[in-house]
Amino acid sequence: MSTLSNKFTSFWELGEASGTRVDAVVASANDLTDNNTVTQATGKVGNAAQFTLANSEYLSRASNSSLQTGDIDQTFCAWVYMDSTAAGMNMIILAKNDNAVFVDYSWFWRQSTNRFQFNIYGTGIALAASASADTFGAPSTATWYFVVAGFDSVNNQAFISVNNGAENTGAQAVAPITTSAAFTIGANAEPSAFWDGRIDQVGLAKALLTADEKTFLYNGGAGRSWAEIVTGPGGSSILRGPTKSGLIEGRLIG
Amino acid sequence: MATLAEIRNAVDAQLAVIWTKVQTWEANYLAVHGGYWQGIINPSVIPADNNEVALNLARRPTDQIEDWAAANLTLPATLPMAFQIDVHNGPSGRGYTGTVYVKVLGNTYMRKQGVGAHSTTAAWLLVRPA
Repeated sequence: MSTLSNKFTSFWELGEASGTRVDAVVASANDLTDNNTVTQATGKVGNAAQFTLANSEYLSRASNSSLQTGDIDQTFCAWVYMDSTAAGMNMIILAKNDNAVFVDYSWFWRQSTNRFQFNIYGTGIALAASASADTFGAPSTATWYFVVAGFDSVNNQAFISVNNGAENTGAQAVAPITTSAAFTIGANAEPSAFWDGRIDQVGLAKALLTADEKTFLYNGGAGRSWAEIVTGPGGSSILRGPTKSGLIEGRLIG
Repeated sequence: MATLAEIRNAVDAQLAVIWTKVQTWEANYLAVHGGYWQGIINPSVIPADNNEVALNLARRPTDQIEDWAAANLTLPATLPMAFQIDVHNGPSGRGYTGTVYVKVLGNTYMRKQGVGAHSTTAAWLLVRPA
């Protein structure tokens, strides 16, 4: 295992055609439920999950401690591709957010600003910290983007970057908390704010990634499979978890 | 104007009738197709303040042939609520969740009723304040 792969609590390659999406991190086993038949399309690495907004499609997992973050270092990464930018509504990449009572974090494309944004929340759905990818600017449809976002608990700020570019940050106002909201990809847990397009190679790390690790994951715009993440940088040749290319240590994904 | 409680009670009563038909339809659909039937939110705009809104029985997801008309739920022509059925396929198996939405004085409320794996049952909840 590499130093980088050990940082991930969960990693979803999202290459399956439909049904359950397998968590490559065997110890966490946060396999995701398919809601309203999320399909498959060509991804950044192999195949990706294809979300059709009109069909209210999303992936979900009931809350558990491994998906809860709160006031700790945390990093989310994903490749995202928008088929359209929905009129009048945000589109969620991933969240723990029931849109009513319980909200931990929400990572989305914000309609009003046309930016990728990461929000983390405190008690009473108070915004704890927020970062908007203003340096990168407006994303386009039909284009893959590597987006990294999270929260730095030492410097007390949210951060976000696109395509391994410069980070935007936002200072903490109140302490982030954990809640029982379900974890979702492609919508919030209400569900609403559906994604329209593809999402691939989603990682959740309860740690900050170094600049070298982000550069490795970005790979000049080509992305990385879980197998590549496990073996490097600084990894061994012993693979764990499923890969898009086959069976590793007993877990197989399509 | 009807109170929030009156509107919720009226919707609960209507849902009780529809839900029985939904369960029969879903059981039959599962037996034939191996998965549950998805019902796209209908009407597409959430009715407000107990006003009845016409249903569109032709609504369906792009990847499913059967629309609301095919489900033959003998729904009324209009409803004071929006209704949808989400389908789930996950590690514990399959299930479905029916959700109703009403809007009262600008506030959007929802209630959920689920069957099977990964489904949700929840009492009335304010989800989008005015």
